[in-house]
Amino acid sequence: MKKFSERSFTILISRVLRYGVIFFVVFSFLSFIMRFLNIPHSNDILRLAIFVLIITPVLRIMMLLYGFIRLKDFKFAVYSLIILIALFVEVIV
Amino acid sequence: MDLTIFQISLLMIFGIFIGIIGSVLGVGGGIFIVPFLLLVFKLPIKSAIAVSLVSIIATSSSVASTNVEKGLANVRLGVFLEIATAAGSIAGSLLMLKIPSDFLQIFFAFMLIPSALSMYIKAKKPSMEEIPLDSDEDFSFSYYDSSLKRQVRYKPKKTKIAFLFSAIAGMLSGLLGIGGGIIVVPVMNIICGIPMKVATSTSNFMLGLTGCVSAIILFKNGYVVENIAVFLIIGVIVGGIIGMKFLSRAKNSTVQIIFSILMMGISIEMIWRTFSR
Repeated sequence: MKKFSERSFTILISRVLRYGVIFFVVFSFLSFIMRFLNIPHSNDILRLAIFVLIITPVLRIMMLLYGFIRLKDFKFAVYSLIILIALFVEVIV
Repeated sequence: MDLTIFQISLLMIFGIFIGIIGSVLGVGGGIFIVPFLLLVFKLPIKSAIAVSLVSIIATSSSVASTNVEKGLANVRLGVFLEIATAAGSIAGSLLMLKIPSDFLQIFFAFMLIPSALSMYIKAKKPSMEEIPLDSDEDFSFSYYDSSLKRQVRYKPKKTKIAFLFSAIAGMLSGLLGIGGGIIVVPVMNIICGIPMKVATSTSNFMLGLTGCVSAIILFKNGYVVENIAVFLIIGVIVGGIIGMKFLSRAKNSTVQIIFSILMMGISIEMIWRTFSR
């Protein structure tokens, strides 16, 4: 397995965020084109784009957890896990 | 809901403004977005909040992706303080009905004034590079400052106090409907003593998570008005790019001055709003 450096960690986190935004941009434009050509379900595509965008922070926390484990930085891995648990608690409360 | 070309342009221009303040000042801008959607688009309050939260997440994700890579946002400090904001927001939603929000609003508004002044004074009188004695090794980090043209090393101090304040920020975000950036940025800059640009970038990185759960719940219940959200978000993404260009070249003291003006403005607005009811 390739060495997982602090640098690969930062790139991983910034990629997750960037892919979320790119996904949003691509799919929202796709929905515009569909609407323009009167293809049905354009609004579902737009909803999907927005949904992916709003779950990126959750994906980011999951990737932080994974990244900190790979870095063997267990203190911060536990911190990330606590946040993830807190998010689930928030959904229940 | 069908939008006119004029409404679409209005949303995008407003989004650019929100994206700029989000990337430069590390605030989500909910305090501007909600009234804008209520007054201009006549959205019901829950939809306005839902669209505002989605836009805050967009600001955070699009700007943080670059700032994390550049080392401008301190990920470890962000994660540490996120525990506090998450715990605070759970506490806040449980306390919701028990504290009269008028009292809270006035209290908060008056707390902003000394913070604004102390940040303004700091900007006018840049202190010497002091090495704090109780600094926390875990969070020490460096970033390349384009305005100084050198790598800047810093060590946040008093991170436990910052943790406490972030918990309060998380709590107030539910109670007052503010994102928390307005508290977290001065805490990181004034208490932890980290460079202003790092404080706003780290706050921006944290923003997305704070409103995320509420955003998902509101989305599931159909409160996000997709047509309005999409144009606002496109504006926000463009504004974020413009703001980042400005931030990387700006001096820390310039950002501090703009932020202290924002704090004063919000404080006055809150006091005025409470007393004019």
